[in-house]
Amino acid sequence: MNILKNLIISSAVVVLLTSCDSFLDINPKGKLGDEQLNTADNIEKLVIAAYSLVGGDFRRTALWPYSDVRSDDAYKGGGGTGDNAQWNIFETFVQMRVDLSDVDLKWYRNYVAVSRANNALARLHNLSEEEFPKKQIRVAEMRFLRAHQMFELKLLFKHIPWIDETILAAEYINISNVEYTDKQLWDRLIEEFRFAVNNLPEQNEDVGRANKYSAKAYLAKVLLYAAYEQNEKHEVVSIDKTKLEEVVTLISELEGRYSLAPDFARNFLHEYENGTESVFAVQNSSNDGTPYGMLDQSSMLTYPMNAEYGCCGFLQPSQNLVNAFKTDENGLPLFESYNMSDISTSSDLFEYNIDLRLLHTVAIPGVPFKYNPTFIYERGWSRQPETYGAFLSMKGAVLPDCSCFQRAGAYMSSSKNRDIIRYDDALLWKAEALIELGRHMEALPIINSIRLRAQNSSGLLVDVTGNPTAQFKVGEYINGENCNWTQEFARKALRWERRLEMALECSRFFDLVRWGDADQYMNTYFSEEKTKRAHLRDAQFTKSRDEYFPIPLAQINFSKKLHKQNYGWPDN
Amino acid sequence: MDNKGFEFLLSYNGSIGDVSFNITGNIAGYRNKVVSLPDEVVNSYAGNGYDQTILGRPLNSLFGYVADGLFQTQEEVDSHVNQTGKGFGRIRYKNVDDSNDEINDRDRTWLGVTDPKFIYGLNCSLSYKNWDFSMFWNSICGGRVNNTTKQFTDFVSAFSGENYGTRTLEAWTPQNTSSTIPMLSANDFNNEMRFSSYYVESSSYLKLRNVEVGYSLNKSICDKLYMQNTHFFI
Repeated sequence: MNILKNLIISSAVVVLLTSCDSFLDINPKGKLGDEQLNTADNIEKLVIAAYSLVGGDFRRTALWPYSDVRSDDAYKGGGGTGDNAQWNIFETFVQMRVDLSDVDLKWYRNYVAVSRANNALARLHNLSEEEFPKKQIRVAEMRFLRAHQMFELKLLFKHIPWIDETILAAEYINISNVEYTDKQLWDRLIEEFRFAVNNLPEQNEDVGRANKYSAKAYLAKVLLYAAYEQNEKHEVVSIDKTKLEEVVTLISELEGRYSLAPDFARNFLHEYENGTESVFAVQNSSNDGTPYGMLDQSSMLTYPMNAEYGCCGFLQPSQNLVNAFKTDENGLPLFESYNMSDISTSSDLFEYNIDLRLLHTVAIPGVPFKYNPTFIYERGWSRQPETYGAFLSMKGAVLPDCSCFQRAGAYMSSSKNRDIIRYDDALLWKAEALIELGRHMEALPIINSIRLRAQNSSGLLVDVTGNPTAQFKVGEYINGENCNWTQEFARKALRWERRLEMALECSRFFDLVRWGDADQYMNTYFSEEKTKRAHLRDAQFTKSRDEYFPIPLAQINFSKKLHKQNYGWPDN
Repeated sequence: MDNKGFEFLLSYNGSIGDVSFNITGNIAGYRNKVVSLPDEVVNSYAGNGYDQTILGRPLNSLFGYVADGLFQTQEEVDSHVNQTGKGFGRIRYKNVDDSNDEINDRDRTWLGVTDPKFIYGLNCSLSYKNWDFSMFWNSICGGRVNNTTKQFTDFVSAFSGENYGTRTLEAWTPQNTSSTIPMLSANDFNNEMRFSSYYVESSSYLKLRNVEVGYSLNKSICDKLYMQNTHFFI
């Protein structure tokens, strides 16, 4: 009897334990299970998570050390050549290696952002339009964001693995960075933005989301870059005119939707963000539930060293860039003689005619910082002027009393938005395309409209007595009067205009590489600048190598040698 | 992962006259080997990810460049293979893979294991009438350690703008060529921060962990103080 009772009880327990698995399953608290992420609500949140990485989330993988510092626009800055020493190697090129950890870090962080878009996309595909009416729009937004990250990777590394949501993680090991040719990668990026154009609404809910117009702008940008076809040595061998024509058409379609702000300053002031000139911007924020806010990481290291700020003095404009803002008696750039003498302090600003945009871009000793006439920038605000001079980049900065200013530990930044694409930039793409198509006469009024706006941007550039802080003069190009607008001249004017308008916004280095003569610009720059800055003494740009970073050695190893190293870099 | 080990303990009690003593010794050792890993994570461990991996090796293996002394003269620099950033006073890295004339990823190799080969202990105790004495020794030997502190103590290029270790005062100069510390330099173009045998040191030690001398009061005295037992010790 006892045996029978035991048998019944034990078999009942066994049956109970095996049949009631779910009874014993409890969801872990504070974590999301994979299944839970497949609801429409949670997918919406994954979409936002992808947006949160548009501007990057780490001060050291902002784009400027990987672009502006490698150009003739800026020095690294900071506390000497050893401060963030790898960026010194970026700046001088000759000590570059394939195993620099900061290069691998950038690769890694951009692919993290790609994976967020892929995560949202994979789950979106499993929902029907009935379950989630916004599905197609969100898919287009995610493809837009993924393409944005991969475009940045393409500009840095040229040959990158294309990872989309259809590839399982276990398959990543089989994807090589040379699976697609350079041209095929451009085609894929173009395809992504075309899809975005075709599937995004003209107005999207929530400012900051991608829409049809921002997609057109980004498509135009990619087409412009892709039009300059490179061989494996990064030399431009041909220009695809069909692509250029599409650039012209696309930017023309933006007319009416966007317009230049009346004052250039508005593009760099918190009070005017998301204005008519901003096409697609990083939507920074503060007091948003995160420890410090989703702050502008690009400015986290670039504030001055004075008491109101305190760190860290990186991204210092080069003397070459500052001199480039000089103009002649017609208000036109001094193409040949700009670098023969240096603008150093506020008094020099009355020795020459000056393009106003200098005072919006560069902090100069003796001149008001960020439009506050009582807040005068001094040489002592720079970190190590003996090494890097005393200029500082100002576009990303805000005044300490801005509601958007925010300290974050030893560093500081703000919740001011940063434009990824702005209308002035887009207009200059159109002008560039027209010039390369031989339609340079049509580019003339576009460039002049940019210069006219610059001319009108003097309102905030005053000292305490209300007088202008420099001898401003920006003039328009008048064919037959102050210039001869040939294609060659137009090209020179356009390239100069891009430099003045987009200075220190991470465009210059990629422009030089796109145009195919980065080595000439950079080596000319080094030969002239090293007499002023000893840290450039041995700097040298190696043609057919330094246009792109090497594929990080760590990535080549992770791929078990499937990835191929870029041209000019040693293949271990 | 495969772990094999052994441990022996031997103890002897004895007495000579009024002195009684005990000696206990122990010795232990273990060997560890990573047997298999999913493909995707092999790279997270020591090795170069393709032909030199952690598989078949101890988990705590060290993998890096071989630091082969400092270049003493320009002739030594010139006769060495290509090494970005080489110069006199700088660390010379060994061209382990001599199929090429470069110091590159192929020249990383296995530099030891952080696990000790053996762990020893020795415990002695003596007692003589009311006195007692004991000591405990402990030792490990045969292991290596990655001394990353050397990045702070030996270099000024690693973390510029901070306080530097006093060892930097003894760095190599043309007047001080016997130093093993590389010549000071503001920039680390020779990538001396790379993990190499420069940072690998022996972790062996023998340590006296505990020594004790004590005295116990006679039972008769304790009884008078209403105590069962009292032991004074240092």
